[in-house]
Amino acid sequence: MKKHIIPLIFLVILIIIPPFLSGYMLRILTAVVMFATLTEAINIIAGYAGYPAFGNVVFFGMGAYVTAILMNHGFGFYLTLIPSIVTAVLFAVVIGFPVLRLRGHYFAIASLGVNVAVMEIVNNLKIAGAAEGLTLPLKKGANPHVVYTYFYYLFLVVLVLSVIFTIWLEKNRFGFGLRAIRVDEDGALAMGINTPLYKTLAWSYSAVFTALVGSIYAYWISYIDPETVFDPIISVKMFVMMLIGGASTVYGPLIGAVLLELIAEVVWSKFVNIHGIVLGAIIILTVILIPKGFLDLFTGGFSWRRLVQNIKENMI
Amino acid sequence: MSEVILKGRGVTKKFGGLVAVNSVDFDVYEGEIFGIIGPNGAGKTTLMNLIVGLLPLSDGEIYFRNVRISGKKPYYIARLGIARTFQIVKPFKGMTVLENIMVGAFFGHGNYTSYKEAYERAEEIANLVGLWEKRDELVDHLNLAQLKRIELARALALEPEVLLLDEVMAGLNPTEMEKIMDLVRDINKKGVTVIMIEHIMKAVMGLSSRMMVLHFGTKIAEGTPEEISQNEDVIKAYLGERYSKRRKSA
Ligand SMILES: Nc1ncnc2c1ncn2[C@@H]1O[C@H](COP(=O)(O)OP(=O)(O)OP(=O)(O)O)[C@@H](O)[C@H]1O
Ligand SMILES: [Mg+2]
Repeated sequence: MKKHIIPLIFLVILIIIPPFLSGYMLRILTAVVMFATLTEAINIIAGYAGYPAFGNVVFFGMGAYVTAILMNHGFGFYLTLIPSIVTAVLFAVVIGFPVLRLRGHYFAIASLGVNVAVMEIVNNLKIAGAAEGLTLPLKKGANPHVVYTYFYYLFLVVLVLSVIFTIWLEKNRFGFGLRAIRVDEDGALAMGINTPLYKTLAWSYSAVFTALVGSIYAYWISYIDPETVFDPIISVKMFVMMLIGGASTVYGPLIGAVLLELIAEVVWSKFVNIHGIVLGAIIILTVILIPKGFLDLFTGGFSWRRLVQNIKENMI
Repeated sequence: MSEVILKGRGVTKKFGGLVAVNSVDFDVYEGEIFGIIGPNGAGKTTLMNLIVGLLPLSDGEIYFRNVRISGKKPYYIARLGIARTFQIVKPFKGMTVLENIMVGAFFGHGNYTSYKEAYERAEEIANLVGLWEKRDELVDHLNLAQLKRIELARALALEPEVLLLDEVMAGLNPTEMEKIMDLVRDINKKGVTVIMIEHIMKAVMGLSSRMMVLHFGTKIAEGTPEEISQNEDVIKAYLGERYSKRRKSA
């Protein structure tokens, strides 16, 4: 319980803060919340179950497209959420069955391949506007700030749901099963864990949250195309956020999302020409110096000895 | 005599051209400690992997009571009540001792579904196998003797009817070995049938009621420890080889 107090305080701040923010600040905060949720979602399959789902953005794109297509056919936004989830879960189950048999790098590559394939299909799909993309109906509101606050809260709700899910996971037999799978799949099998089922479930849960975020994103931005919503860079970002924050922890992914979004914002404005290099250097340094992520640094206390030890352990 | 709890008929495993287990028949009786010995590469670990379903059989059948388990998934077999330890230890790193044991409690035959139930059961078992002091430590920091106990503890947490031990004493010093032997005896007294693979003859001979000897995948002998120690083939294949080796090195 104690470790949830600080996050709860942050949540209260997040709830009351929008009226005090400029449009620009609100947009950045919304992006942070969005990425925090995506990262919390990838953490289920990549963190807890240890399956590097490099193509997880595929569920984001699917959610975005299901919502866009249905809203263009007259459905209200909320009515599109269930189909969005259902599509993503069905896809996770059907694709997961063969792909989740692959381990490690092979799974990473296969899931990336699936993402690229789906992007190509959508690129040629008439109902999805093919390569031109789709425009969504605009959300109406008294003024832009009200509209943007509305989207901010939508993302925040999904974030809170994903965090609650992860807290439940930590203390639940399902979570124990996933952690066992991550370390040793044969060991997990011998312990009575139905590993194919558990992996598929983990990917499905990950897909649910990712697709929900995609749906909200589409409505928020109100224009989507395949290149944007199936962009593999989004998966990479989720991954990096998870790693620098702390994989297979409840709050690590959130810390990672905050740090990387804010750092990216600062780096972007200070080093316009070489921001990619600076950002890359920061990522490499954090992964080498604090491989368990920033959360570990906060909870475990800082010490030079540990830093040195971490460097040693990470050198090949 | 009591009932047969585990039965193998014509159990065979081929790896390409290599016949690692060659048409082995065996009957393990409920409540006994059954020893399996044999030189390096005899096929002992492979046989165990076949029993628990981690490898598919090339031929033959295995029954648990009257249920055919060959061809079934490992998690199904584990839940039926057959648990095993790994010769090359497989601790769940990044988890504490208790959490490792909890995995067994959650998914085993005992079906402890809530966190609290599994936690309490894990505490009992940690106590039983002598890991109480280490219970909240990450398994990453344990030594081999302790990791062997983790293997044992996790398997016990499954609450098995049949417990398969793959060289749980290898690499341990004599005192640690004594302790594990006592532990195995206690577990067996509580009604768990034990199948024990060992290199260390003394341990198996002292504990087993019956044993079988594998050599190049084939069963070359079966019987009580006395019978085995006097069997000509066994002496030649297993003891002889080792004695001569020892004589040479001396
Ligand atoms: N997965 C595998 N693929 C190919 N060959 C294998 C495989 N597993 C085992 N073998 C071979 O099968 C034979 C039996 O091996 P196994 O590990 O069962 O022996 P063992 O009796 O347990 O030996 P040890 O006492 O060294 O543990 C060996 O020749 C081994 O090299
Ligand atoms: Mg072996």
